[in-house]
Amino acid sequence: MSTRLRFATYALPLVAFAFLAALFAWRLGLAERGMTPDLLPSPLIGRTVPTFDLETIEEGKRLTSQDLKGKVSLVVFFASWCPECQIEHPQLIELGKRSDMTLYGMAYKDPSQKMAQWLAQRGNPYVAVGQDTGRRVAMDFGVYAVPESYLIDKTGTIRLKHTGALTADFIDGELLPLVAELNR
Amino acid sequence: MSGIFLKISALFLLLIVAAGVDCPVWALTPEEIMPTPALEARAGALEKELRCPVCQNQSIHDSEAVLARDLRQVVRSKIRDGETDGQIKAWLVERYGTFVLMAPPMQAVTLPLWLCPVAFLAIAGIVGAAFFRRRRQV
Repeated sequence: MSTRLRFATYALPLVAFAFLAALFAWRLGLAERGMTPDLLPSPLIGRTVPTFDLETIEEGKRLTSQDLKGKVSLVVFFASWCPECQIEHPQLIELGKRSDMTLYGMAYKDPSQKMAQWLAQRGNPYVAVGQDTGRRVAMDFGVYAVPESYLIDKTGTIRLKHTGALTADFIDGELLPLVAELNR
Repeated sequence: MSGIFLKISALFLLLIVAAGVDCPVWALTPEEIMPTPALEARAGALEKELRCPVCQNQSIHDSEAVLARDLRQVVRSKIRDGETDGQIKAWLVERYGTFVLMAPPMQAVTLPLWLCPVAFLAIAGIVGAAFFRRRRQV
């Protein structure tokens, strides 16, 4: 009894330590692959895109949730003041050239003029850029940091969300395969 | 003359210090304050139960992030519109997920979290019992 107990008093902490170490290694591994704990899973995946009707940075033109129907679209919340948005912009320019996907922008906390200027300088991959002045549309999408991108299928269902700058890894590994599938 | 001046300046100094001491370090802006103290207390209590998705270990009550301020305004306007705490929480969970709740709800994913204390208590009990039994035997 006593030897078994002495064994247990040494073995238990060791087992507990090994378990914790394995747990931490697993989580660190996830973080290494870009899944940092600040990324929140969106409850909107698989749900219909929120209804919206916004002015765009082009005068007299509106952008509504109805515009997204019947095509695969990428809705990007961004701002001219956001450094990550500058980083991902070249990727979006490339995506804007594709015929299997339509890009819509959402100006987050950004006056029209500044946004128009920013896009004029860097190129505009968007069919339309909505002015989300009150940030209510962003809230309905569950946006918590710009840039955030949402892939929406032809029926208007949100299929994929990406928080932070779009990376080549994400575009080639997740986004484009899903776009191809949704267009099939 | 100078005595009165001194007294008045001392009073002002005291007021400034008192204002500083009394002022809670909330991130609230004046236009967010609710019309009655009761509603204000309810809004504050509810906000403390809601996590800010940007600065993730702060409640939206404590955070100065733009999103936290936006969410506070939503919470407060919904309280004014007569919505219940449950309705307001549901509205937020629909958009940001259960992450916005400071207390995680009982779900399949959070079950280990809730069972952990029980498991640890059980382990401690077993180890403790074995330890004391041995001491009695010795």
